[in-house]
Amino acid sequence: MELSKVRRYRKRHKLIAALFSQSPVLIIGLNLPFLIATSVSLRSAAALSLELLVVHMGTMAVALLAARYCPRVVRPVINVATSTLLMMVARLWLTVFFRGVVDALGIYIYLMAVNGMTLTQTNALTKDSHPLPVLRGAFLNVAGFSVLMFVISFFREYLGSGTLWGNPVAVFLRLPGVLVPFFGFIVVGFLLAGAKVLNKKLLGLALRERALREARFSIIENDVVL
Amino acid sequence: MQLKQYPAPHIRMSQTTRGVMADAIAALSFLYAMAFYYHGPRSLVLGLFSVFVCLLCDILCSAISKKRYNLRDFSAVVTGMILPLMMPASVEYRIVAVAGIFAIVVAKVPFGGVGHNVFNPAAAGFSFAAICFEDALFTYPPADLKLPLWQTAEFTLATSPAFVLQLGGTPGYDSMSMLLGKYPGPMGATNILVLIACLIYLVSRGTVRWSMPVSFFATVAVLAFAFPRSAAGGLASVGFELATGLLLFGGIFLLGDPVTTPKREMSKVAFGITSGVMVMLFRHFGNMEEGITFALLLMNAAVWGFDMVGERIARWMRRKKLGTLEGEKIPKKA
Amino acid sequence: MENSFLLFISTAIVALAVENAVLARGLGTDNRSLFVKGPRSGLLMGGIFAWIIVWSAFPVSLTNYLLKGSPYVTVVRAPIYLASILMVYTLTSVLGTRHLKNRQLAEEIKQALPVATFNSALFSAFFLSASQNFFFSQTLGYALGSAVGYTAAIFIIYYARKRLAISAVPRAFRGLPILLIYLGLLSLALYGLIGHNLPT
Repeated sequence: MELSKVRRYRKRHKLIAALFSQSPVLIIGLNLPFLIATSVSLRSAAALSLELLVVHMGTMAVALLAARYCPRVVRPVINVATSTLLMMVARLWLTVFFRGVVDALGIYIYLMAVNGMTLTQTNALTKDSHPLPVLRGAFLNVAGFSVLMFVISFFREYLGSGTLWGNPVAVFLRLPGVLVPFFGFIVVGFLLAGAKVLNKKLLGLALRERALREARFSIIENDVVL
Repeated sequence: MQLKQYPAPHIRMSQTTRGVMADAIAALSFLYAMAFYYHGPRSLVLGLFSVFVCLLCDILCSAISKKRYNLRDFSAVVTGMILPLMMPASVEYRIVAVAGIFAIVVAKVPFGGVGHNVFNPAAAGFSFAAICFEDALFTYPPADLKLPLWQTAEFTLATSPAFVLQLGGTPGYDSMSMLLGKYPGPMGATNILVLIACLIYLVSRGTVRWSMPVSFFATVAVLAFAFPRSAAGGLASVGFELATGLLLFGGIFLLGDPVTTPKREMSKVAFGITSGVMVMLFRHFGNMEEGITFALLLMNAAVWGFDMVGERIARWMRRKKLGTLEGEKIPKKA
Repeated sequence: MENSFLLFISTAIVALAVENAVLARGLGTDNRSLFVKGPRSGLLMGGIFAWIIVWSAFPVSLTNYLLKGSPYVTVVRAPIYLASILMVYTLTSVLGTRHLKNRQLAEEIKQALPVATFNSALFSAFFLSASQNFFFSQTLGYALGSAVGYTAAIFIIYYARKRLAISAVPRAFRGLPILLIYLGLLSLALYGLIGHNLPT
């Protein structure tokens, strides 16, 4: 196998892994309430993604500092207080750009302060956690959540409301039941199953790549050049 | 050696899945015959289309999961036949397709297919369609109206006696019309005489145990008498509650599903009684005129509990019985 | 007095069954809190949830009363609710576990406390009671009903997992995916009773 292809597989797999196969949303089911109940329009997906970006990144940054300088008992309190403050800031900011959507989202805008992804990842930090990889991973996780929100919202808004980003579009069959939370459970369940299959295939590719790499190194060690 | 996994209880019976499904198909065919008599060939085409959609979904899902599809498994056919019978004869084909796809792809395949599904697929499919297309599913063409195969928009649709009961009124149909199905209602749920004949057929064949439908209908009757919805009085309410909507149909074909109902006799009786209470709760407080499919989904989730309690009671009774052999107690070991 | 008691009971029943946080709104569907190891863990999680939400309902209700008609209510409400919950959480964490003789139970409570407290189901109960302008008895009833409904949902999910473990669920669906589909169908059944989208 050519080295450039190996490098491409590795790069692609890292990004896809961060977005999907290692995404806490898909693997351990964090932040599911937003995917289930609020993924009914693309605008709400955009609003919640932006809010999560602000809340998650800000709280992770503060949590890194808290992990270094504060006792463990106090950290959950600091993390939740930070996420609540950032949620309020994000809400005020979103009200300017997405007023109607913020009103429609109701309590879910406030619930971003206690979203599972932020609380779990911030509480898992230690004083040895390196900022750059942690923040990069956090950003990729937010990106993964956003991709999922947009995919589900596109599907549900198109089928349920017959609109896309609030603009009416031609639809063969409108299913209003798709907008109800019960369908959110079902769609997310199927998406998680699809992610499992994708993860398995990617793992298979990664294992194959690793086996090839090891075979190549063992051949070079024995002074055989390919 | 190939190891196969089967769910509990590991009880062997002379019946086969194919036999049970064949009996159900035969009983449903009687209802399709009556629907054809009242509404013409459209009812048969709806049934065939629904069966086609359900079979296609089942085969595609088997292909995706790289499993060989068992052509002798008629469960998709039964689901496909049940769905249109719960709907008006004027229902659009795409609504039937949506219900069929939901029934197979969501309620059946992810749980492991036939014999493993927790929820009744037909009940789930109809419930989803009822939420999406409430107006289309709860307005019916007049009885004795032959409908064209494709276009039904020009016909005036009417509400059923179940809707009148929901509003607290008294349906204005005489007993003979209700027995013969000469009133607007679901395609396969109006002809009471044929439904009773189907129940007798299924019970005599052993496909359905008599304990569950009898306990279910008895509970509904008692509750309808005690808490009548119509002003006509207790006894008349019993007749209306049993004869209107999908109650009789659901009690025979949905409640009679051997996979999604308890296994032991005493559990079946308890399940029938609880289902009756749940259905009447939905009828009194629910938002839709027909709540049996929703109530049944909730009861399907509780089947495991009924089985567990039934097993414990059966074990206790067996130990009590064994503990007194010929009237003497077995001495405890030192 | 009688009216308050009736309001308390009716709101509790609505929060428990009709507006169940997990089944009707998809709240609290977090792997950490819902995947309990057994009935004892489930009761512990539900008990802690009930303890926190009921005691927090007092300051939250007072906040709602004081902030009624204020133009800053949407801005100020969230941090005050959080402060109330944090106060109960801190008191429980510091004082509650210290005096327990059963050290194993104290340790289990310590593990479960942050998971049960910082939960979307708990926060949402207060926001929903504020948005529906509940009185004190209704807020308390809604809190208690939410706690009982959440505990019921934990047990439903526990027994659902046991039931699904004996089914031949395809490999891709095993675990969380099939559990979500199961909850979706239960939620569908509950929607048949409610018949309309719940207020947010």
